[in-house]
Amino acid sequence: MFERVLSNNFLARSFTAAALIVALAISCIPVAYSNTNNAQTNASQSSGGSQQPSIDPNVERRDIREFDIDSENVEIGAFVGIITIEDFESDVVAGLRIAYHINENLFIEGSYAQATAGQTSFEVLSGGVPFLTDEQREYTYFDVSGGYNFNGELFITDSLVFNTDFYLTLGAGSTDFGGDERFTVSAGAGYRLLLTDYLSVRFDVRDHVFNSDIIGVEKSVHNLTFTLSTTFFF
Amino acid sequence: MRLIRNYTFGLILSILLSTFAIADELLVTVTQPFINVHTGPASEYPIFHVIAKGEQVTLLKSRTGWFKIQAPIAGNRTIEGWITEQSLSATALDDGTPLQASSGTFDDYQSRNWEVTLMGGVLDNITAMTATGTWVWSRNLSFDASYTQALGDFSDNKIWSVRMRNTIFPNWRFSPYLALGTGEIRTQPRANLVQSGDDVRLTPHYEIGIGVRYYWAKSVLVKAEYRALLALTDRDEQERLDQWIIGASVFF
Repeated sequence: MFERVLSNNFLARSFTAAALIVALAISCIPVAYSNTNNAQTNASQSSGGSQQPSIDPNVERRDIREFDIDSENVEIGAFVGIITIEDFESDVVAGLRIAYHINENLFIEGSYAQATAGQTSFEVLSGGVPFLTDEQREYTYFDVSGGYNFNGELFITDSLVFNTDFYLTLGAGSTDFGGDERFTVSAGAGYRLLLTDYLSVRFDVRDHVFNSDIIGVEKSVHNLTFTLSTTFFF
Repeated sequence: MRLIRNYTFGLILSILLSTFAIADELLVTVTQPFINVHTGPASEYPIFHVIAKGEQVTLLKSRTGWFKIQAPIAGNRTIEGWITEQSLSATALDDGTPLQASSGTFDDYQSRNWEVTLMGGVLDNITAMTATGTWVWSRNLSFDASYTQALGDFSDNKIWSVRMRNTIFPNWRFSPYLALGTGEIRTQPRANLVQSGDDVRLTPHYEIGIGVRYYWAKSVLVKAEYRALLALTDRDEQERLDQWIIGASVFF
């Protein structure tokens, strides 16, 4: 369908644009660490100069130096897992996510993922009458979530210790399925195991809720994802 | 199209790579009686080591206001751990210059270059989400590129706009702002209503915005805004849309 192609392109383009904006924003972090030293106050010498004041007004500013050091607040990664699409079986889902960590607890995260929906029980029982076209079976979603980390540690042995986070997320986005795009609310929880400072493995469970009338009646559907991700901090 | 996509990908990649290139390590000396070293980059992580005045540490990297350090300990060994920003200000370079990190304070807000904003709310009773990228031109003026998605029961609405925003009191933590912009509204009826014969409709629009921003904490602003969109339709009457949104920004 023409509309379908149009909307797909549009989503792809808008995602590219969003990624570009985020990348541009990240590239500007170092700019913020600009050097502000050598800002000596060259206050004008006391005019006239006939009398030496008892207090010297030319106080030298303390020379404080800002510096460029590798800041790792951005987390980027890929995930794969299982999505249970209400009325349409369970399927493999794969996607990308990028997060910005605001402080030690809060982060903002964007995810984009794709899956291909299976058959409804009606299709199976009726002997293969297709309910959706192949194109309409393509399931894609994006969401932007806020997350809260509960920091912790995992002790494997006395000396083998990993830093971890248990986190909760809440977000909104859209789901493109069955020829329609729907506003989608998502909520979930996960566990992040930091193998090193910059490499983590995450297990994530999320519920994606939206209103759908694909099977004829309007209802709110719950699509759960169980995913495993590898992410890098940089 | 493919060429453009490849180019975009290359651009993103080169930007990402360039951020790796600035990695830098610094040797600093502790100037206060002592600093605490945590096992991880958060206050909840336990303190496992203390570095005394006069000892040297190497700064390796930072994460959300925490700095990873390496320090020598007895027996020619080294430890790695995390120190706070306050601890960092208790150190100095070899020449005695104190260190200070740029950490998203209100002063840093004044010299920011970019903002990324995410907002949610309603557009004529339809749930709407808005993402905005901002380039800060002067203390008062900034330019927004904004994208809104409002998925209703009868149609999908996507709106992009560019606008100029004037923050009226940039020196106040709490300040109102005004915005003026233009863009395009793309409306597509729902798939189950396609029989109506309608197709994707593109409508140019003008918009005005009035809102408030509040500097909340470290690098984060909170914003609430009202936008009035005037759609320049082909019909005799122009259509006005009202959008109420609330959200947060991160600045760089």
